[in-house]
Amino acid sequence: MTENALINESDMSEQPSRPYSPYRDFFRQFRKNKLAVFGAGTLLILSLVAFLFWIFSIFEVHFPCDPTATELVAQLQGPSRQHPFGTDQLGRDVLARMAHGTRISLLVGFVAVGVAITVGVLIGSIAGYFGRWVDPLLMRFVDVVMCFPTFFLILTVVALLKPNFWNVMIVIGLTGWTGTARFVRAEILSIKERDYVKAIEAVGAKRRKIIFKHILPNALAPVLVSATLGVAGAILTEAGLSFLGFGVQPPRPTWGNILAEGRLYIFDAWWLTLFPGLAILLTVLSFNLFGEGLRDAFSRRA
Amino acid sequence: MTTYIIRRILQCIPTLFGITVISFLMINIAPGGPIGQQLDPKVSPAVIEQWEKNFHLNEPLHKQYGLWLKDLLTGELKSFKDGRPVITKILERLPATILLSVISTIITFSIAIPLGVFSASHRYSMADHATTFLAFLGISMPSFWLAYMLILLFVKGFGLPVLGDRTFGLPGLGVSATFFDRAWHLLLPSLVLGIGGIAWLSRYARGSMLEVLEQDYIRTARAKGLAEDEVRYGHALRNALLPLITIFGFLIPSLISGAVITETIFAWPGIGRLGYDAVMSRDYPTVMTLATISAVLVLLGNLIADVLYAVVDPRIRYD
Repeated sequence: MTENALINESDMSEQPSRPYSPYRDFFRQFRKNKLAVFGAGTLLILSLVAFLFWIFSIFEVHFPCDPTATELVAQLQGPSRQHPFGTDQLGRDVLARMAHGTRISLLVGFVAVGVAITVGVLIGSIAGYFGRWVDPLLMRFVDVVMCFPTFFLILTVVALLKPNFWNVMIVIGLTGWTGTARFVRAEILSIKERDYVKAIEAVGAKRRKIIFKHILPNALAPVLVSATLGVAGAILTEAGLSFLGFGVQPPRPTWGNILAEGRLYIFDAWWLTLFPGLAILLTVLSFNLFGEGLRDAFSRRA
Repeated sequence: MTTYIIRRILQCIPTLFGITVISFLMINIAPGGPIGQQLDPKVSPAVIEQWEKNFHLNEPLHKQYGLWLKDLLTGELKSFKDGRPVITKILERLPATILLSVISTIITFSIAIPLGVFSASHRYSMADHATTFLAFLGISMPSFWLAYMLILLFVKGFGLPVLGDRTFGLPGLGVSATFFDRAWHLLLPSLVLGIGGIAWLSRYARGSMLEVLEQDYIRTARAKGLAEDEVRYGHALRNALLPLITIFGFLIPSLISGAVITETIFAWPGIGRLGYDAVMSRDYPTVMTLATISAVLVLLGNLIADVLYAVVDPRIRYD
């Protein structure tokens, strides 16, 4: 921490007009981590691709070509200038399908984590703040859910509910909240003993307001980190489900189901498996690097 | 110690109860029944009724749960699919999965720990950065994709058989050749199953080692003039490895989840594939029993890890 103090002082002597800002401090720490910056950059590009192709699909602009256009004379062709990532068993361009799939793959991750974080924060804060009999009961429930082999659970539920876009996201989300619940509870347990919380309690603020307005914002950093890492996990899970045939269903292209269709032709058309897999790997890697970078920057902040 | 173990086992009972309730509800509340999957649509209503009666499907839900639990404990639970006892079906498949998981765990620990320790001892070096990046790559790798890439490489590149638990159609192999054949078929699935664990554990081992290297007694050891290797491997390593014992408990859920995908791809005759097939054919009794058994394994793993931790670390007093 002395190191930080020194950096701040020298900065201030150069620019006396700029006072210390925790945000600037955070960004300075974050920028030092090259891998995290790489992750953030890749995610930015991926989001742009997802957004652009969403717009394209709304206005039916076929760039570089229509992802649903089948070309039966060009089935299972290897990478070429016309089709950089080759074509699939119906002669569709793999690159175009992957570009359109970006949005869905990212969306699955974000929505699933949204669900997981909401449930986790709610259960964690209720258990942490109210204590007494509520806390052991909820934590025992968390233990039970944690014991299940998640993937098998998700597979079973999705198979029973019929796999579609929303079911997949919600089920992934509903199994991923236990970690969040645990650390939110721990944070709240420590924050609720602080003097400022005792003070607002003394003036008679409502419990809901105390939790959501005064306690939770102070536990935001670890929630953000776990959300980022959670997106990585959710994308992997969706890909695994798609691969077994229970993910987002074709013809809507996702990286997972392009891969799943490609495995039937694995020995004849390696490009159907290689490229979507690399896309998943790169995206998940970026989320993981970005999340770890956030964690480092938060914990090193003065 | 004994009282601690007994107390821990007693604590598991409500959790276990919760687990059975959830795995029962999860399946029975979901829409759609097993009948459409199991019986020909042309059969008469009388047959369906008889079938429902055999599997207690006409009872109210809480009674069904009680009957299921009773059948499970007495080993009389029958599979929807072929009417054989579920326990027998699982016991047939369990050894293959246990073999795969044990080999995978051994590979995980024996690669990850040296990697993490090396990384920590060469902190901020080129090798450390490379290991860190590789670990992130391993954590982010879709395991089924890795499996396919390996299959592609070995089958197409080297013409080696990798699927199943042995090479078929090779009669009259000697003992050692059979052994190598089986070992070879174990290697890829256990590597695929372990990849996430290897990456994750190596990060954990690195962190643990770095933490120990900052301790006062390490400074003392250096101050009295011990060689750096002696300090690292004689003093620091043993203390850094202690917390890794608890990881053992965390690995089991991921092993079981991973087994579904890995066994399906590599045609490995274990409970992961049994589970996948059971889900596909809506064989409720098998699915529920598998969910329960795997949860029990997780509980058991955590229990063993906690007890081991208490045994090896004399500083920990549980009573």
